[in-house]
Amino acid sequence: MCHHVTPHARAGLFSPANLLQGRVDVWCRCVTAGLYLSDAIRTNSTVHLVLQSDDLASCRLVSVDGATVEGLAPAERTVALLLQRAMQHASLDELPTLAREAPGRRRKEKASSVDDDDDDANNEGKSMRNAERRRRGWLAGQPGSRGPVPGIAVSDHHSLERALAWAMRGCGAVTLLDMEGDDAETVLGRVSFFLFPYGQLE
Amino acid sequence: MVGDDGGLTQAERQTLMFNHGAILLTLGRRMLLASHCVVLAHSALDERDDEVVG
Repeated sequence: MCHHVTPHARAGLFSPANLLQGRVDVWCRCVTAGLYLSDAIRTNSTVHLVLQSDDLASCRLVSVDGATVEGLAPAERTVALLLQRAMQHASLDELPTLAREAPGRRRKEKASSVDDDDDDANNEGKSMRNAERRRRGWLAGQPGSRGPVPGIAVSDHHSLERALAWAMRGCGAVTLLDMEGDDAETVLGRVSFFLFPYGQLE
Repeated sequence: MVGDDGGLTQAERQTLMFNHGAILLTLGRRMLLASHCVVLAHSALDERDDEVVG
């Protein structure tokens, strides 16, 4: 569960070359840790990334299903690319607008991005149709335009409660790892705990 | 369910515990990286699962 996730990161507008920004590396590591065995994938597990906005007004849920995900590899960058594609695909409509407002955007990027096309159109007299064509061209070059990623579902919810309800549908048991909790070893030793299918633990 | 470096808010804890019946567990006194918690939890569950099956 991640807090203070920027709209840009939620829309997959992050650089796989700089995963520390927005701590996307932690998302990737959690996916790898949750799904990978040495030489196989835990097909009975699903990793849910709960990404909350600053104002807690919306919540994006990214679910990676070990049974159906395709193209996954242990490398962080590979996971990041898959997440990016899935998240961008779920935000295609707002992607150009978000890209225009992306923090830390360099001037060099401005020239080649869709973002200033509107300005260019005004300043240089280019038509809005031209600008729209460029916008579509830019969008077509984004990973999200290649379609959804099999096994990675992205859904948006108006509240954390709704996101959790969606993520935990069908779950038998939920454990919350927190420093204030009971000792995990003791509790996990209860056989009754395993009456629940642990693969559904989130 | 694991939180980020800021942990979980009280409201989130209550939602998870009261609405979803979450069991509150700790892996120790030190705050670990989220992905490491997942590995440790999986390991404990795998071990217990093997015992139950075996």
